[in-house]
Amino acid sequence: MINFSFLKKELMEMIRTPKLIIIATVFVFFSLIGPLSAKYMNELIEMFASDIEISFPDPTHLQSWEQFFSNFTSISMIVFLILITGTVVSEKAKGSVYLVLTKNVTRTSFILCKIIAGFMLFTAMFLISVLITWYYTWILFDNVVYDGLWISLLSIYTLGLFFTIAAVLISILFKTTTHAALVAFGAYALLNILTILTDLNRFNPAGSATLSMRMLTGDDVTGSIITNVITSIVLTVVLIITSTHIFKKQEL
Amino acid sequence: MILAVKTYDLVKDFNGIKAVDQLNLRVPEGAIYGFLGPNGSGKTTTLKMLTGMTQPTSGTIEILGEPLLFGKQKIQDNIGFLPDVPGFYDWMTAYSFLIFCGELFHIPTSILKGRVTSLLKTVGLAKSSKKKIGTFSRGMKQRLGIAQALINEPKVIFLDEPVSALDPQGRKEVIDIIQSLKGKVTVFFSTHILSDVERVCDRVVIINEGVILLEDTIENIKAMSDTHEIEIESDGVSIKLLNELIKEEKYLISIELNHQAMTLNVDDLDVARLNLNKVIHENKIMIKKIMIKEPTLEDIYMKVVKQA
Repeated sequence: MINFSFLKKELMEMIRTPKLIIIATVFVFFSLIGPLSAKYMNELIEMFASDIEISFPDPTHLQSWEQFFSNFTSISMIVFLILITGTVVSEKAKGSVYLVLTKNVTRTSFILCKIIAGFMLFTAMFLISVLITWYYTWILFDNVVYDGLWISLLSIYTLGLFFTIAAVLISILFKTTTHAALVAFGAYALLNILTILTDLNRFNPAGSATLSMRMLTGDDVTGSIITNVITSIVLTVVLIITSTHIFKKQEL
Repeated sequence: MILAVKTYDLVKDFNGIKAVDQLNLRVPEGAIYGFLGPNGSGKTTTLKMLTGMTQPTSGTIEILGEPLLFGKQKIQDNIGFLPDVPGFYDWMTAYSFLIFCGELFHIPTSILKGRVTSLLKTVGLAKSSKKKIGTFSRGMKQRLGIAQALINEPKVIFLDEPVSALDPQGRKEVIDIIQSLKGKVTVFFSTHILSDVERVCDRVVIINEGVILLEDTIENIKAMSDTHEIEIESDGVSIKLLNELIKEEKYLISIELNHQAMTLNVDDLDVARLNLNKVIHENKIMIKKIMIKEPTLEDIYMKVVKQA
């Protein structure tokens, strides 16, 4: 089903082209910035706005995770999404898809390798980001875990998987990398705008950030987060099937 | 006779425009088969259908006797394909790219390494094998493209315009490689550069607007031509004199006079030759050159494409 040589090429390509460096830099930078800004934000504000008197409560590890949920699901995710949207469309535009598909690589295998490589890259970036946040939160606040952290992390992870497969599908559907990137950004923006419909957040993969933040404020929305995780997983599976199906019938 | 490629009433319709219209191809195994036609005549679309990249609107395709069904193709082991604009992974070297291509076929490493080295030699890239493809010229990429199409030792290779974008040197190199494949593999290649076709092809098919205009061996196509032209070169006075002496002859259809040459279009070549010899001898006309004009493939091509 899967051609491992093609999967190996996908992974090597990330290392040998600037893709991995760009993505890793963004993820690492924003993971570092999260705990640091949580810790020193009050002091920074005081420094720059010394004439205004505002008193903030002392920051805790919860603010650090808040920064993580916010940064990870915004800037980091957008960069990841846009870079992944090039995965199929660039092979079509360049013509390399013909060289691969006339070898012993089925169209299903081609797409599955793209998806797996995307998942692997996202998983690595997610783990690195969580570990960095975890480490600096622990160093700066002496405390890391709170009720609801694990389920929140799981929902952010499944959101990432969903966006990865969405990016691959968009990459299959469009003819230029620019179109694909714009549509992916549009889809990201739309799902995030829809998070204002708070009641629907459990059915909106992008609602995971909002729900995770609510958990941080002590609002127990565990049930909604679980629904959100299940929704993301179901949608991911549906999009995997849709992607392989469309690519199988696509005229190249 | 085993046919490498056989199509039956192949049609490709793009929103009402027929790119390929009832194409019936019969490509014998082992042939170097030229697929000719002007730009936009349906060559690339046909090749994409033959390699399973595009679905025919109707009609059937058989590769080595096996029906080709879109989306279910099991022909990859037997074919090689070089698209018109081959896209490589620029970060790979020529060597690592060919190894990658071989691995996609699950060729055991022990066999693959030797095969890659030998293919690099065949296409003249042995010295550049460790260079990144991104630094290659067009000609080098095209030669690497042929090497990747041969990695699985296919029985048929499809080359889409392999020489069209190359300079004369690059063209010669690629054509030499194609010629060296004669007898080893069936080569089906599209082009609009006719001198190359004349050099290497056993058979040609000329298509335009998706329809076959002509299909045969090069010799037959040339023999089939009804061009009956005789070219004569001499000095201006002799040409004028000869013109006066023969202009009433019955075999003449037309005479085209130039300063020191004339082209006779005749209905019977043998009668004309005998008569000309006699007139020239009897009148002691000094001739520089007299020859029967052989039709080039280009003449025939222009003629059939224009007539269609």
